Amino acid sequence: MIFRWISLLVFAVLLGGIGLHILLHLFTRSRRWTFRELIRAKIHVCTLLLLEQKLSPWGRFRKLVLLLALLSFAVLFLTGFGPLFFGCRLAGWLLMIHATFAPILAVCLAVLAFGWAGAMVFEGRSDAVLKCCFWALLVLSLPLALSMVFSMFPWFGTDGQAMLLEIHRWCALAFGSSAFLFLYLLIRRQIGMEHQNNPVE
Amino acid sequence: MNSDKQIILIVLAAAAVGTAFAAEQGGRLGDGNDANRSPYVHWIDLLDEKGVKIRPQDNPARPFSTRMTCGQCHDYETIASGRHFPGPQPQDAPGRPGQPWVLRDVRTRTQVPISPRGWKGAFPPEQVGLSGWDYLNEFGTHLPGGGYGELPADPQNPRLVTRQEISGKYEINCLACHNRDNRQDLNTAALQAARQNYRWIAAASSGLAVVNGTASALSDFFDPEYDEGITTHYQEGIFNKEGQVFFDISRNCPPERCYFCHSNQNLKLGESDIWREDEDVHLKSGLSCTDCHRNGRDHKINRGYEMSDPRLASLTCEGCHLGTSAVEPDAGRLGAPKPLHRGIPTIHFEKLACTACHTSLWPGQEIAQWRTARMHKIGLHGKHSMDLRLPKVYGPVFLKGHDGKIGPHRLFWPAYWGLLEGESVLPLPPAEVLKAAGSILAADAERVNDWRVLTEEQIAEVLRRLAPSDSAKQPVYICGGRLYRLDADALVSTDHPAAEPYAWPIAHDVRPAKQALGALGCADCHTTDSPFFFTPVPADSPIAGMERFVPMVQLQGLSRLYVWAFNFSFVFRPWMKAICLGACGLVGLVLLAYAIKTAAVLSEKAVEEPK
Repeated sequence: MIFRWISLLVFAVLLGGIGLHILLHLFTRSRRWTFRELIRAKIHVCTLLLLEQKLSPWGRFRKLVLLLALLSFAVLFLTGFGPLFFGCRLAGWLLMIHATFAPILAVCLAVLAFGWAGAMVFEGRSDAVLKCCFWALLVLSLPLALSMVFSMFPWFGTDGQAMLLEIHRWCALAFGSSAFLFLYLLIRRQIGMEHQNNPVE
Repeated sequence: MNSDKQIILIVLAAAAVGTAFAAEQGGRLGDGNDANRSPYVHWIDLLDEKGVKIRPQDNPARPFSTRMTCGQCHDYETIASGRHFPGPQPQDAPGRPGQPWVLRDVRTRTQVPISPRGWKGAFPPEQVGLSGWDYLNEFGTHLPGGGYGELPADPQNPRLVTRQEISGKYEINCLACHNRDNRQDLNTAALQAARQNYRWIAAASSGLAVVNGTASALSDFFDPEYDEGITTHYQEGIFNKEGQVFFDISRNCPPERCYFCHSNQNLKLGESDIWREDEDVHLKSGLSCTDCHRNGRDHKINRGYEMSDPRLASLTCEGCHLGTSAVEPDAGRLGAPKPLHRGIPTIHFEKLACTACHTSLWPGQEIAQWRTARMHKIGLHGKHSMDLRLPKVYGPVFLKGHDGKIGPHRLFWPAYWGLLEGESVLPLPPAEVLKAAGSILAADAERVNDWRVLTEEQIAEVLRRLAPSDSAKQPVYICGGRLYRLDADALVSTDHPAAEPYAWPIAHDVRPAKQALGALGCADCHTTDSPFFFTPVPADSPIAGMERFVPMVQLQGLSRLYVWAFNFSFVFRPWMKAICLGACGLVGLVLLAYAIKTAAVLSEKAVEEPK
């Protein structure tokens, strides 16, 4: 019960904060936001999902992995926290879907860790929060995945199993929060970079 | 003489003080408890049903009455409120369903669950037309007396009044459970009950007396003053000089006493293979039934699942092995080991009862058929033994219990003629059905121990004949999980809640932990053909050509597709573990590499700073 309320609070604060940040960003700029402009902006964000032609094969692969990771994260977040928000527990078909997508996310994270770590080294203060989120995601992914994997081995008794489940839940909360923040900052950075490359727009 | 008087006065005063002490405790002399753990040695007077002392020289000898003999020191009425002695108006909440009695009639193809305890799915005796006397005659062989056994006969029925006068009342047979004497013979008690010698049961079965005669064979005009009926002969030498008799009484009943009514026979195991069977692991560890199934003076025996009652919680599986309180540790009572349950996700403890993994037989592809002491009258020996096979009891069937947890049950499929009114079906007494059916249901099948085949034409014809004058009620026949009724003179069958199997949870025999489900891994239950979920349970019925099987998963109320898919996912579980471990290893390596790099950078900076 406590976990449910804390989760609700954390995600409400985080997503509310992100929403507020977007609004502040929109209204503090001199640009006039018409309905058409807003639709355009949304389409722009969606185009970030597409594979750019300028990408190298490795870059394309990395982006595909990122997209797959995004899909897996969305499924895992909805199946994991969805029932919790509605006062139920993760069981039945949802549990099976959750368990199916979990290893996919784990593999994607491993590939992203390998492919992105170099770009996420702290150099000065640029993108410090984004980089913090990236490393937090990597660190949290270990207890998040291992807590469930270890529970499938005959190593832990009832108390240990309960502890592993608790670790999994709290790590999932921290991982989910970090992931949302990371994605938001990544999108912002991507849009910012595009603006820099294409100042006419 | 004076000293004699003084002794008598002292004894009377002591008795008065003792009585006052016991009365203060709310009971009689024998109900007090000064916490001395050495048992009271029962040299006591035998009293007959009128409270008159029985002496060795009495001729004719009279059977002793437990109400009077044991009631000298114990509050009989309080004991009579116990769970083993239910009457027509039960005082206790029903609790979870238990094993019912079964009213069986081969001719009408009837097997109805009966219980005065108010259990869901079982009918009170009165509802199926059984009087107290009928109930006693039907089930008396495995009753411990009391309750229906002591009901006064209905004065509107003079014949029953006469029969009860001849047979006497079936008082609580305290000795059936508490007598440790090896001569205590419950087979003889059953035989006496079958003969309707209710007044003589306690004496005959105690091994203290030999009883001859059969009350049921005596005419309604039998007069005990003039006719020789039933005779009682006490064994020589049982009376001491004061005319008292020794009873080897124990507060804790030996398991052998419980077993007479609480034994089960696995028909999958041939009679010659019974020696291969193990008893409950608790008994083999030195416990007895009453160590957990305890009771106070009121004999409301702990049924072993009531976690909500703090006095009883630590006498459940969970309470005893895991404890009920974090403040005052009470786990490990009677030396119960704390289970480790390594590798068992905690969800199992929310979905499954302890008994699911630890009790009864290891689930197999073919379900076992059972006979139980009370339903099939096992335990009767010699020429009185019976070989009843109906009802066909199946188990272990893993079903959701009263608490929503899946546990092992035994079940049978009710079969009876009844009247459907609204959504409920009330059974019709077999005699009434037989009277209406006339020659359609053959009356030549008394000793057949399997169903006599019934055709759909016969069912339709009997239903036509049973049509009541009240059009709101419709005659129906229930069997094999289906309800049969006439629709525009055609026989149709449907599913109906009243046709569902009667199931009751089983808690014994408990297997050792190393033989529990899950000991060999997840595949003990999570395979696509797992007996735990997919064993077919025969929907037993007398109807010709109606062999039907219901998969256990359907009785559990779960989706077959879901359970299959979930179990199928276990095929990929090793891959999943390997993939996750591999991925975690890679992430760990990256983290380690950059941690080393960071450490190197920091170290370099630390070296640079002094410059």
